[in-house]
Amino acid sequence: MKLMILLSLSIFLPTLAGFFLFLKNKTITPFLLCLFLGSMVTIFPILIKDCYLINSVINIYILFELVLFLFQFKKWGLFKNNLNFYILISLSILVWLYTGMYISDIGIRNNYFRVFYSFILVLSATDLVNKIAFERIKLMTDYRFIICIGFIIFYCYNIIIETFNSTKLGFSIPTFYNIFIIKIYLNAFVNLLYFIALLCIAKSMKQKFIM
Amino acid sequence: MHSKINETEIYYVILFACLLLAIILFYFFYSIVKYHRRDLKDKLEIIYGKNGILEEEKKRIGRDIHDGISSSLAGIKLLIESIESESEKDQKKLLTISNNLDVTLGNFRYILNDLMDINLTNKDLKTFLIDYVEKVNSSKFDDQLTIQYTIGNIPIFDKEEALHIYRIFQEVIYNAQKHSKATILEIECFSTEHDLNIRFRDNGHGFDMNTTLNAKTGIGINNIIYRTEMLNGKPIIHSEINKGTEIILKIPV
Repeated sequence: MKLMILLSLSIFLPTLAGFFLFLKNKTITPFLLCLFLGSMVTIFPILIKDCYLINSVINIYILFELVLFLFQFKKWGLFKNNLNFYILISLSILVWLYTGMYISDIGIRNNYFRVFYSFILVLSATDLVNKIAFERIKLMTDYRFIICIGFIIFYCYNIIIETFNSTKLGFSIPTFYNIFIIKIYLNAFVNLLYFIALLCIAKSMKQKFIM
Repeated sequence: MHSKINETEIYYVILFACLLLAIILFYFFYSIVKYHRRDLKDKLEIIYGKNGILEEEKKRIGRDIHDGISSSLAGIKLLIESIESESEKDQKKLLTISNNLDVTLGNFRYILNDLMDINLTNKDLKTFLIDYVEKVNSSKFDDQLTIQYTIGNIPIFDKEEALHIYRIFQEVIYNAQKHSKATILEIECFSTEHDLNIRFRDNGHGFDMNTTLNAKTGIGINNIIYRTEMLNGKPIIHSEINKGTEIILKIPV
């Protein structure tokens, strides 16, 4: 159990690295904000025991996370057409309002929106990976590539899990626990990828400084 | 009963999850194709840009040679011809120098023809090609090669494309003269509704296709292939040692 808690707190690793980069590199501000918010949301359930409040905060957080990630993708040059970008943002907010307020309740885990936001993030990350692949740069040390791989791995798994969660199939508690454990391991792995990506940024900044 | 409903629900959930993953996979491939096309377009733009720079540089070198060396040589020739000498020996020497200068000036004009500014316009391409072929046929510089040609109507191409076609003609004729040592070069150029078809055939030495196309020495022939591909055309090249070379180009209009 201690290992699980430790793995859940792995988000602090990239957040800490991001903290040092925050003032020096403005191109990844939305991503660093997401990490920071993610860290806060991770420790929130430890401090507060009210389920309704926890779910409300997490539901609001995932909307912010999606919007911030989309802004990050825009900063990385994904949405050349501003109209597409704002349509996607508006659509995300509408889906969030519809699933969180109309179908469900703000205080209940919004699984429908989680499927939607995972789907959008995987599509955007896939598009960016292909864009980077044609830029003829070193892929394995490109921080955008590493982060996108993290997105694709984590959110593809998320799509499957949340699709099941959004129905009332009723996993047994041991099954749900096993699925959740896999997610924690994946989350830790992806956080490690984020950390490596931030180190790559720091390294490239150092090289530029030396030059 | 409960278990059956549960199974149907599981089936639909799996189906939905698979559908989402299938969309992602489809989007992944679509995205690859999209960026591949964009990359190809960028590369072509770079090549066109480089081509433009190269043509500008050629023109500049051509102007320098024309204004500098050619004029000087023409001046020297006039000076030599104005020298009057009573000695027969000296007169012979002067005549030899004058003849050598004629050949050198001929060489220069030939090189300049390739380098100097060509103001190709759509309606001029056919005239330009015929003029060039006629110039080579009547050239004192190379009386070995005879070009037999039939050039029909040429459809409208933009300036850059027309220049590519003109350069292909120059390259083929130069190859026939210099490398193939051909005595006859046949050129047929005609257009259909969709394509411009050009066929070159010489009776020269020919070359080994595999080694020439892969070697760095086959710059001329590779240049023809490259220019044809720039025009979205298809080059068909057939050559055998001692049996001559045939080049067929099909360029879409």
